[in-house]
Amino acid sequence: MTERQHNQTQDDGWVDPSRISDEQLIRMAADQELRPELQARFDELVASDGGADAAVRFERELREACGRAMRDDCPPVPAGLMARCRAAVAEASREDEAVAEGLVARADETREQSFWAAGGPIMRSLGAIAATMLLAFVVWQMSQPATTASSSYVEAAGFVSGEHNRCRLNPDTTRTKFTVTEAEAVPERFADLTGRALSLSDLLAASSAGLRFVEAGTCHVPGRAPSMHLTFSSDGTSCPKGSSFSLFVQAAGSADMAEGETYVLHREDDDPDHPTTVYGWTRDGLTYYLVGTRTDAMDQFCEALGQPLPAGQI
Amino acid sequence: MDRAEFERKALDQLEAVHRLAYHLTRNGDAAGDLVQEVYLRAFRPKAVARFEERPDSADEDTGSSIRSWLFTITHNTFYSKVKRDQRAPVAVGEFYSDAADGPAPDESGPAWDRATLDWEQVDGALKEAIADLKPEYREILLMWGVDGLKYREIAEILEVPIGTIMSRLHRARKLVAEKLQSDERAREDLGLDRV
Repeated sequence: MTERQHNQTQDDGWVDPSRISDEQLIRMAADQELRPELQARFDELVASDGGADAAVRFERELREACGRAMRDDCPPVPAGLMARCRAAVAEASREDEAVAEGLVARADETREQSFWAAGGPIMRSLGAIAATMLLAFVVWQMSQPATTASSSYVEAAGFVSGEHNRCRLNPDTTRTKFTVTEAEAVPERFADLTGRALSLSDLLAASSAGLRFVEAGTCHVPGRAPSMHLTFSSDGTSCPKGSSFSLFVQAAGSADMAEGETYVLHREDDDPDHPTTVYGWTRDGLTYYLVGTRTDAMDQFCEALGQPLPAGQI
Repeated sequence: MDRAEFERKALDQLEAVHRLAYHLTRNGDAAGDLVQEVYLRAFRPKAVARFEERPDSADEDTGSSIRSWLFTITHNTFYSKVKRDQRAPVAVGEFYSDAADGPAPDESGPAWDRATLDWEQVDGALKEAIADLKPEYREILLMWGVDGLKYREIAEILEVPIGTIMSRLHRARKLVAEKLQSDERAREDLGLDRV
């Protein structure tokens, strides 16, 4: 609270009665907000000013008229908004369940004494897996040239898949990441960030695939070029309402992907029916990574962009 | 209250939330997007937990508590967006400097003969006057005029002192009344003649 406000309000937040004008007294009386300590002052005012009663009546009528005008001046709730809100509630609830299930599963698992025992079966298995992975990595590393073209998209695809799920499941911890909430503002923000142009019509194409832009923010897709993360939510046209999608756009081309082709870069084994899938393509010197679990909607998004459907996995 | 009932009661408030969103944004599409975002945010685990911690969450009239809670989220979501919108930094500055304003007891009220009023006739002028107000005035006018909330309830929703609510409401009413007074037709219709 500012010093000025402190001087004007009491401990309970009410304004100091001595600072209340006659005009405010009338308005408080009209609003039936007159406190006992002000009633006597108001009675005196009515007794001394013949217009006070009329003023109270005017303020009451003004309140009713304002209420009526604001009610009338608002369009009815649009058809479909209730369904959109139900989808939003369902989406938030799914996030709730996903986080809770993850926490419960992890808690149950880690409460087991055997999990932590150095000689326990889990730790033994983890040790064996780690040793195998290390050996495989050393062999693979020795067989590769100093830099590989394919490693860039593999790393990027793994990253965008993980980031999509992290943001989807932990909205509170990732809230500060998303600073753009209007699709129209994305090209300007992208240009500020990368010095490159991103077509707004590309983003609006998502809506014809039933995907609604939600928000966007800076992201750090592996590689030196800056990138943005845009999120979309399904409106139910091409897949269940509220399904989440991410589009990562990096201001650099990719040597692995030919312009004019779409590739399946990654599939997560998280859901046998709808695995988290990453599509990738390059266009006009930018690399796009589209992430989601509903490839039907992702295919429609590609079609809306004039991008061919993925021919296969690389 | 179980989750299904909680959701139903929250969705029952859709019209009130939409009305507030519309009067804040003054744009149908933006209002729809804001409402959807409000419901998404409202049902995130932390938001639900915050509602359950509120002293009024166990009240008999849960509908009113849920409406107040949704209004708070609508207000916060709208102004977070305004703050992020670099294209309108002035609006944010105005909003925050206004929020610190206390009551203005020295301001004189409208001086007119209030004996004969015909509000039905000034509907258009009144709507125009309200539309011209800044959103922070409109939202208070809405909660006060349409939803019939008390000063304290509005103060809790907007998380500001009651004095600030009284001050903004005082200014909003004064601006509306002045606008009506400056409109010759409205003045005639209302019989508002300067004393």
